[in-house]
Amino acid sequence: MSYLLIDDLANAGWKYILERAVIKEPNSLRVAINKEEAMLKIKDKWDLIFLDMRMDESDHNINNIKEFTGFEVLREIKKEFSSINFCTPIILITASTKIWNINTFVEYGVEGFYIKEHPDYQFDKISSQNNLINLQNSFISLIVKGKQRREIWSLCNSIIKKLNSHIYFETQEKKYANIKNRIIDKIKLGYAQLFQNRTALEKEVLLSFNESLSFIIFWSILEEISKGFTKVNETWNDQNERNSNWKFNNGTYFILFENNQLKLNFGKDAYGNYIKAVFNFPESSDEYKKYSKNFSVSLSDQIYSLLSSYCINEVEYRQFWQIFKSLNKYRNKTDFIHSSVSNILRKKLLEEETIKDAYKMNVEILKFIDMVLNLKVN
Amino acid sequence: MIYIIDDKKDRQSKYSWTEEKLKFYKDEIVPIWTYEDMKSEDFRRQMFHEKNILIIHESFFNNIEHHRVKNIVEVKERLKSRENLVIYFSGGIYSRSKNANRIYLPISTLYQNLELYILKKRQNDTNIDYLIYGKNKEIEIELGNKWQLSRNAIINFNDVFNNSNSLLIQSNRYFVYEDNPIGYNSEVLNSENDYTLNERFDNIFNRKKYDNIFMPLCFGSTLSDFNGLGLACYIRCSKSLNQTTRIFIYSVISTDYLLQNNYFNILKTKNTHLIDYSIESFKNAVQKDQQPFLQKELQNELAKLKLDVTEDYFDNHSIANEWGIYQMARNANIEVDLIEGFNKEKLNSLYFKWLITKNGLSEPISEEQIELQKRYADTLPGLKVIGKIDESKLKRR
Repeated sequence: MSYLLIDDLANAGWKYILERAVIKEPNSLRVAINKEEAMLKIKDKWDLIFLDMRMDESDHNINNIKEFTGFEVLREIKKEFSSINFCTPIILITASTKIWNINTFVEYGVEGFYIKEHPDYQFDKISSQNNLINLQNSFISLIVKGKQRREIWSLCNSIIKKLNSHIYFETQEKKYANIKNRIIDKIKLGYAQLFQNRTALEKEVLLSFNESLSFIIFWSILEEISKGFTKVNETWNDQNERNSNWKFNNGTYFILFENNQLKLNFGKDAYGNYIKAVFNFPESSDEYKKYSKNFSVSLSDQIYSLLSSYCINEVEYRQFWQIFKSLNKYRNKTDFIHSSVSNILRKKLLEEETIKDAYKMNVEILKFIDMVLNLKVN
Repeated sequence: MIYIIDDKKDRQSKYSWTEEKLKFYKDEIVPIWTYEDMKSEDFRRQMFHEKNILIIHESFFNNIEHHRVKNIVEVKERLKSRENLVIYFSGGIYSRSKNANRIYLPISTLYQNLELYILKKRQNDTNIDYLIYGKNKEIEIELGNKWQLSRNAIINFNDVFNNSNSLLIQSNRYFVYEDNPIGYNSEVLNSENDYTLNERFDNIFNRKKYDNIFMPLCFGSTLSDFNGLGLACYIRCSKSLNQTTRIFIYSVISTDYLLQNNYFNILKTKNTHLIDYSIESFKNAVQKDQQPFLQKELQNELAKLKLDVTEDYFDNHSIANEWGIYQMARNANIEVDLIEGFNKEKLNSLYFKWLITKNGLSEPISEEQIELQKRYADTLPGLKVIGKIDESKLKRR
């Protein structure tokens, strides 16, 4: 793993002691001893960064904390979501005991801190010991958190990159640009929700459960994806009412009413498996009514249809819909919104099974979105 | 011309030597803040002109940035050559001293007296004592006379101590000492600072447990520094056989002279006394009946001392770094001596020794804490495998 210490006195003992007392791995820590060096080194990826608050003699004459060198480096690290160390945990190493100084750093992304003890504010033995233990605990929890964040952040950025070069979204057409922006915003929103710090009170009393809510946010991106793959001007009128037919950008139809028949491009075979084929339904059938323009189409149908339209063969389709099926199943259990009658009457809001898989399902939904954006579109 | 080499502008400002003030005295002072300032050969030639006085902060050449400069060796060698009057100053120097072309001053003394020296120099009074002692250089003369007079009162220490298991420390400057003491041990001190004292400390104070230690109020080259008070503090703050031994500081002056001294409060602690330089006082001291000073009382007694952060530290930031590293190492059960880059010498300074003793940190950390640290170390390897989180390791915590 890779760690960076940004501190003007890194070589005066801090590098050595942090390697031995906290990381427990000699020569594992790289250092930057001034702002210029720090600005260069934060362009590389790190698993954790230790950051000093004041790194320059001039910092001691500054009253505005946001002008401290350490703060400037922090702002650069967290400048934008795509910054390479945006998801890297940062531990503040500071001689300041002013809680408002530390809070300002926390507000901009610092998650742990160690107060360099000063003789004027001498801690008693127990507090001094706890100061180190607190740092060690922060290090452990942030290593774990950092790995999860890196995984999610990488997926999020992969999606954003794909959107930015995707033929459907890189267009002058305002509606698609809006869809793209909404997806990016939802990505950030989901990420923020997933890694939002929760207080013990929120966890124990208020049942706050980040992973579940973030999953719902990421899941909802599929609504935008579906529209992004659709010929929107042919499918909805100016009043945003759906026309009878639903046509994808590749010219294929999800819903096609033709010769008094409904044609759907997906359906189940005799064994209950989804297959990539055209299914015809007569005017008298339930399906005919269900997909008519007066009724809303479920998200799962939109996605099964989209996959059918864009997967190049049955094998690929099968791979996709199986993943989607498991995601959909999990979504149905996570029922903060659009709860089914069955859930409302029989299930707790947070089932043990839902909680257990929550983080994994966040990864899965992002992977799935990434895969969809990878589908061959022309 | 005075060339003042100090890489900390903040330190200079602290003593009111701002850039503006330095500019105001530009006809007398040339400030040098980085090696870049003396990079040119012409500048260095001018600087080392024999009539110039060079004032250098002791740590200037320790600055990591300056180590990188090739010509730094040349500058250091020329400073050693004794062609110029060189004045070294630092926070680690507690006592003023003058020896041929070398003067050693505490930071505050230098910056406080520098302006007076320049003003006197403008009046063609180039007596360097103004820089060393300031306006009150007369007090040195007064103290010198008093000590000289005391030499007349020759004391037969063999009679005084009468096999009382005492240690007599004398200054080589003003006392006649016997070559072969019989009823006591004798040492001669002329130490100027903590670091040189530390080298001799064990030899003097840790070979044998004494009942009494007698020491002069003044030793070293500057009498008005009253180094005896500092030495008494140093003994109390250093682990040794005599950490709590009774201390008698003998003097020819009253406490009035001492009130402003940083270490005055040592006289308020248990079993440390100021006595007159007389046979009666020595005899009374030896026979004085008092409760022993217990090790467990040290922490509270030393809290009576209020030592200021040493002048090496021009701001809170610097000392928090060294104390912070020391505390982290101690709590993690790591030997401070092993820490690369850490200036371990600092821990021999009286200030750090005092901090350690008054906070009860000279004892090792508890077994429980050692165990906690071992468990922490065991937890880490499972976490640091990329992409794999061993939750069982986490649960063990």
